[in-house]
Amino acid sequence: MSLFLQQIILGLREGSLFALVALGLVLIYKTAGIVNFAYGHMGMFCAYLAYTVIAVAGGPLWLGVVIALVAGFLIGVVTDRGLMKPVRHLSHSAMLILTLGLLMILEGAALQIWGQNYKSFPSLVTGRPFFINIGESRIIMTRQDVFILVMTALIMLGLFLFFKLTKTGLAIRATAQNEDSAKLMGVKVGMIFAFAWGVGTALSAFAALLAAPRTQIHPNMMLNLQIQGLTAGVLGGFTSLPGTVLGGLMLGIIQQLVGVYISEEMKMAIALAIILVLLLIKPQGILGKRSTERV
Amino acid sequence: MLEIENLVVFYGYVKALKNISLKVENGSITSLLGSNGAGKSTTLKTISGLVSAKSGKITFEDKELTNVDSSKIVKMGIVQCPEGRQLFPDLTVKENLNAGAYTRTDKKAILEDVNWIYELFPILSERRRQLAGTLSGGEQQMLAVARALMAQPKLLMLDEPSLGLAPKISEQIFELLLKLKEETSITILLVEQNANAALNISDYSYILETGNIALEGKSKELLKSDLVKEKYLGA
Repeated sequence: MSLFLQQIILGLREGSLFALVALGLVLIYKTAGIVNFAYGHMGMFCAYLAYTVIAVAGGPLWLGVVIALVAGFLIGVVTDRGLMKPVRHLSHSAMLILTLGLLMILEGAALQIWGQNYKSFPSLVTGRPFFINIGESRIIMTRQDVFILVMTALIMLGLFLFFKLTKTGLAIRATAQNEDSAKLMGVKVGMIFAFAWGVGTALSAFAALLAAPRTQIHPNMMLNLQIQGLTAGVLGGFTSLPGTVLGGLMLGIIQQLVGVYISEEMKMAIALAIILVLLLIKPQGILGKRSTERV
Repeated sequence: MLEIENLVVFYGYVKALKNISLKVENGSITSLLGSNGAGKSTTLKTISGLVSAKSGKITFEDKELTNVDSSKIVKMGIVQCPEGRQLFPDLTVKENLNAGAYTRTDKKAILEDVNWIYELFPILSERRRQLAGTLSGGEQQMLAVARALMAQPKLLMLDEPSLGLAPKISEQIFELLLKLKEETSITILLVEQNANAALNISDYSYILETGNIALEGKSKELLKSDLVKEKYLGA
């Protein structure tokens, strides 16, 4: 029993990072109606920028973080204005293929600029880890692990309140539900898309920075997280923010349990298979309702 | 108040508006009639800035607004209530009204207007916390008009407000338009397929046929015209 409980907690630790990745993906999808395949790579690129500031230029950690987040926002806005806007009227798949192209460009560029050696990156928060005793066994949660969990919860809450209480939040929801009507109400729909892309990509940068101590920085550092974030989003119904976080945590736990009780090598494959079955039973996701928004 | 001169609009290679010129007088109800595909909705969408004009000129209170961004047009006081309601289905009634007031910053006046809307449509007040998608067709249409009113229009453009509604409810909508004309300073441009009703409540009417204006005149006179009776009123 204590082993099981231990795995649940470890799963939550993994899952909170999935949830964080998923939040940005869902934010962009909810608003601009596009699943951004380059999402993880955009974060990766920002992590490299932070690395350059800290390790190459010798700047302080906080400066690296700020630059990565600002760069994430700007890359998001530029991607929307420069790449997505010109093809938005064509088709959904045109935008999708562009994000795939962007993924390859970012990967190639990172490889060219920073080479293929793994770069190490420090934890954002350090200090004595927390110990949780369960029966005979003991789980170690680093400060960074706890930080990720808390930040994910705060960002979810922040986004949720932003959507519920602010005028821009209302405009984003309105745009997602009916773009033309939003225009007729005077909403500058283009600005709304750019904003969502900016905030979403900044979230990807943040997730990459948090993952970096464990994955180290390399061009494919976010590949698994992108898949796991996408899965977490799907699991949560892809429009509901609490659902997304719940989806991320669930995926973390499922993976952990599969890894311990079935097979460590197969944990991602089996976890995905389980989710496939889950979605066959409940296609709208765990908290999703049948959507009248983007389909 | 609003003047359109020689407006031409294309959808891809299809010429949707061939040559439209019309005027809407301040304080009037002007109706735009015609069958499906005549170009009524396209005319409204072009005024709102959802569709861009190939040539021609649209002026509003002596300011040109041809191919101006839709958000600016709303700020100038032209608000369209689109065909088929097009509400935000997963927002509550209250949130839909707030979305209507998006361009406004006068918080106090917005609250007053919400109360005015609730007086005008008591049913919306009862359902204020309900999601718009769960309302009945008639209630949705009322909310669509109410949402447009929240934007404080000088010119309110309604696209087929009676579409798909029971006769009794469409009558309520038309009565509301007359009430707005009497009690407020809002000018109304009404697109309708129900020519009879539209001619009865409007001051001046234009009849569109395949992208051109086929006929225009005072609504009272058009009602008496044999040509109109035969072709559009089915009498």
